[in-house]
Amino acid sequence: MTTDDRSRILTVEGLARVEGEGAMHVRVVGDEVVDVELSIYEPPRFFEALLRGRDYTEPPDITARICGICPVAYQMSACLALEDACGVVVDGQLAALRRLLYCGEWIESHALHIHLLHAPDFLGYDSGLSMARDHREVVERGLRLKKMGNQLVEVVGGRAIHPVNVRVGGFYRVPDVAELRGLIPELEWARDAALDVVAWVATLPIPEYQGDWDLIALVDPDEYPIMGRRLASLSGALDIPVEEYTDHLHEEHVERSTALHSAWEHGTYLVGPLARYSLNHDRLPEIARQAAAAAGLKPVCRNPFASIVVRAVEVVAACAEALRLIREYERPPLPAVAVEPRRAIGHGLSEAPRGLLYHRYEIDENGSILAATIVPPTSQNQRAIEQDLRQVAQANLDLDDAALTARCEQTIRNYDPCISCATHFLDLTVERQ
Amino acid sequence: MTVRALVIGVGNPYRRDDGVGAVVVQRLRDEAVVGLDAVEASGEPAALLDEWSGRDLAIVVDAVRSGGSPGHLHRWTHEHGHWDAAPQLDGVSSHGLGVGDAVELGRLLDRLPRRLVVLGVEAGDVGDGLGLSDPVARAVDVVVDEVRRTVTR
Repeated sequence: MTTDDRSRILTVEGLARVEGEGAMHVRVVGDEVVDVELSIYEPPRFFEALLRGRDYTEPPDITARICGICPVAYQMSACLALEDACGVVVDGQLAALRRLLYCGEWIESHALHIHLLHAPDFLGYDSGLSMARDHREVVERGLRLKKMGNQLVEVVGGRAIHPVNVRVGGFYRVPDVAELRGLIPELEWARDAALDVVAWVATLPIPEYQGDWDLIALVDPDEYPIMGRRLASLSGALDIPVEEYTDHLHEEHVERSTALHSAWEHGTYLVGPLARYSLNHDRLPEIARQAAAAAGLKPVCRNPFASIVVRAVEVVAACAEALRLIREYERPPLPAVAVEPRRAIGHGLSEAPRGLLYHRYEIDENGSILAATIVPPTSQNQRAIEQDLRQVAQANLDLDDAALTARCEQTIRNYDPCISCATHFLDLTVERQ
Repeated sequence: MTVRALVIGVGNPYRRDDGVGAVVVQRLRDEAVVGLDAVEASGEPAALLDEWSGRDLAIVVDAVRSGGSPGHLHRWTHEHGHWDAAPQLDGVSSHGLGVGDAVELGRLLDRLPRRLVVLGVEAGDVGDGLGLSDPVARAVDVVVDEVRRTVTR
């Protein structure tokens, strides 16, 4: 709405097409954006309190419930942290199975975001539903891709929603070779479909914008990182082992929001697909790197509006990785390694579809949890999102309120924010006659 | 071959009454109702489509908030391309995507079950934590009975 000749206020109370509940508020006076707020009603850290006093074997199942879209990320960061505390490293085929499971989550989450949440912004639709009316085949291809991700999670994780097969030390049951090989034909379709998706998203009208932040992601000498022990920034200002995470990246409470903001002594930073891609471009599977080049992506990408292309490239990478892992799979003799508790602190870090997810646990000699810290990607990105909102709004003040609001919402959706744990109400109106 | 009916419990058990769908699913599993599958879901539309596609009957159990008294049960049926009553499900979820959107997407892509029944349980307490509030816990029996009646109809 326009309140007077010089002042404009743009407000979106219930942000659509983001995971969770959030609101946006932008205030413009004259030719200047004076205030930008992304409000988050995420319940403050209920899970960290809930975990205290629980057994060290429980966090994978409990924290998986924080998010309906990325439960595998929570399970993996939790397992890595608890195994770190207990002095155990899970490797070989068990680690490969974890990576396979995680590939499933990337495919599932990215396919959903690209097709139902983000693409409508570029094509001028108010929802994925209205886009589906005109682009039925594109949406059907996207949903079939997503289903492929679900199937991977189901076969390795036991079920598609909140997988039940993950435990500290490995799995309860490991799939046999034939079960995984059975997925190959559909995965080959998925890899090729993902290449078509890259080509399709590259045709979308992508606004020009360069983010003024550093990029932070896991780094790995050998592979495109999903789980790892070292994180770095693109500028080189950060290059640390996971144990030093909280020495450098801090969380701050911001009054308007129940989420904590992450802060870094070197300024604003962003995690997620752009960061992973820009820090690890040369470790993408060859087929994904070629797709990126064909789509016009440079090895470093600082345009968050192009994140839709990067996500599609990561779907190609995840499909190619899943095929490789399945072809190299040999059923491990035991589904898990023994993990005995000891009094210690452990750190776990993995790349959720939206970016770095950090878990830290302190346990006693009986395995009882004394303290838990969970830092999700969206709280790390909140500062960068607000910074981008301010700059995008400032650069587009010539748009009318409706168009400017839409552009701001699109800016927020660039990050696929996973704002809350998944509470799902059917808000409804009842007609009484 | 008869395709078994499916119950989908939608919601998050860590948000008290939002977990009513999961509780109903567990009850139905414990009672092993003949001819009925039961699964939990987060409510994300594509996953719901995958679950209910090709079924003769799917029953969705979800917590709802319409200002009614906690534990009150709403029921809507979608069959032959239309609802029996006007629940106004589309586009009103605070999450952007929910059961209403899943139904609409299913219609667009021809991926709805032949008969879809939505059982909406009016939520009371949706704060952080485990366990249902008393009125919603008392409603679980009613919902389970309604599911049984629907399946045997």
